[in-house]
Amino acid sequence: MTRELTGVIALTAGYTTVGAAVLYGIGLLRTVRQSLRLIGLAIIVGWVLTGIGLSLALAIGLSVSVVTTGALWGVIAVLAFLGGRVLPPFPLPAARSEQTLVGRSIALVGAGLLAVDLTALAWRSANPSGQLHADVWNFWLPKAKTIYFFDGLDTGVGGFTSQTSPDYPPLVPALEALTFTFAGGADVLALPLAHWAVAVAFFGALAGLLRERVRPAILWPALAMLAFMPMLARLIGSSLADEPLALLYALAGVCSALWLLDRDWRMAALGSVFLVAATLTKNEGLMLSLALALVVALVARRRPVVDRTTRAGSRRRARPRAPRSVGARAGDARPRVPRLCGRVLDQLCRAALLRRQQRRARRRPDRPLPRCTLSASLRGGPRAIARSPLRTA
Amino acid sequence: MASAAAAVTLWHVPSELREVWRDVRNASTQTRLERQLLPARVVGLRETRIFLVAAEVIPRGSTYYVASADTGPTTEAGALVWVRPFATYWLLPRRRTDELGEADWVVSYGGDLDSLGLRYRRVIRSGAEFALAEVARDA
Repeated sequence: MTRELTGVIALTAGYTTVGAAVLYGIGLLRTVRQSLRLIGLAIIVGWVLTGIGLSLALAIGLSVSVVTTGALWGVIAVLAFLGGRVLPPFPLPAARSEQTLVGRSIALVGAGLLAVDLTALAWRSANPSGQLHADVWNFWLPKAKTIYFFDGLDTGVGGFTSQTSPDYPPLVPALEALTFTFAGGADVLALPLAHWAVAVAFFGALAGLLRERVRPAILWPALAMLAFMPMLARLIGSSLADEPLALLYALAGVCSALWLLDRDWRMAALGSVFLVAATLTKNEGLMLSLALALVVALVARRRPVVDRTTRAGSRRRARPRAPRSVGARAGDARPRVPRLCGRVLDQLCRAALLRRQQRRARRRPDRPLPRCTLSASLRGGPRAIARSPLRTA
Repeated sequence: MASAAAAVTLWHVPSELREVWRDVRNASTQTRLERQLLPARVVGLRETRIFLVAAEVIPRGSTYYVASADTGPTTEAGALVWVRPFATYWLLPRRRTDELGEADWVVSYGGDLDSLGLRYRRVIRSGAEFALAEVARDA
């Protein structure tokens, strides 16, 4: 086994460990079965958090070394462990299964095709032809080499900032530099194998996240179709920043969609991490991330939460939906205040109530206001106003 | 929908696998060094020995300047614009500079060393057009 291969395996094992720790920390991963199901997601989460962490480490003047990376992984794992002691487990429902022979056959063919494609890509990654996109050897790899050779973001002659597009964020070069570090040298032919491992993890992550939602007869052929998409197949192992950007954006979209369906904050957190990483891949990632965040926010305001108890095979109970706006529900006597702006609205309502009481007192000076009404409304805000006799006056 | 996905996938399978097979066959017919130098050949830089010599001779961390011609007898004019980016890519951790006064070395890819107005401690030739020169600094 060559040093490059050993290094890539060790690196992927590190991603897996730290990613699994984080998934444990947020409650997604508590059993062996869940570990097997979410191992792809664990690798991706570990890879992403390593990239984000190394980008920040570079920004404060640290280098991409085994020590830095080990310390980063240690900090993440400890925080995740502490989180896991506090946070409740995520009720991961059972994966959907096919009832008919036809459905099972279609799923099997899809999974088989996906396996064939990933095996072929493994073969290509283990024997790279060395053909690189001009952008890769013009600035992505030189930047990675400067981080590797000059111990961080070197601003001197020929350093990181001397390369083309120095304003691009450092996540992709940092991760390539980390692969160089683990592979024991800046050999660009070692990179495709590391990229292949991440690509396999990507498909595993998609399968792990969607298996409870999507029928196998749809999921596996869809994943196979995705794998055989010519552009994606060419991107895998290319070392272009579009490769991680595409993977991260897709995963952010899936996590956002799952959050829209369930409103469990953990999916929103994962989606946000993927969007942050997408932003750090290249400048275009910022615009794409903002667009996705905006769309998700708009949809979240309009779309009701699906009651999952109505779906067959689900073991979760839907949580009551957060009220949308003041007095939004027809026939509801009590005005409702969204949590985020509740205090502001409370204060506004209190001020309005005071003005109203002053006006009333001026009109009917002979009839004093009941003390309990005033004090209760001042204490309780809109809810108290809703209950008070003033509301019907 | 699942059937459509399966059909499209099946339609793409042969071409994708053929492409992978072509890539692997190309890789197997070349040495590791040839594969590492492939980007230069793809953009038309047929002569790559000078980069190998430079990587061997120029110490790590030293600065170098790349002098290339506008046109060359053995290299297409369009390809010469890639000399500097490829030198940067290949010669790291040596530092390429565009300021002649900062350079410890000059890599000449069809350029004229004499026209640069520098004194050289030594010049290593690699063919008729290509040379590597160490700049002599006054003490």
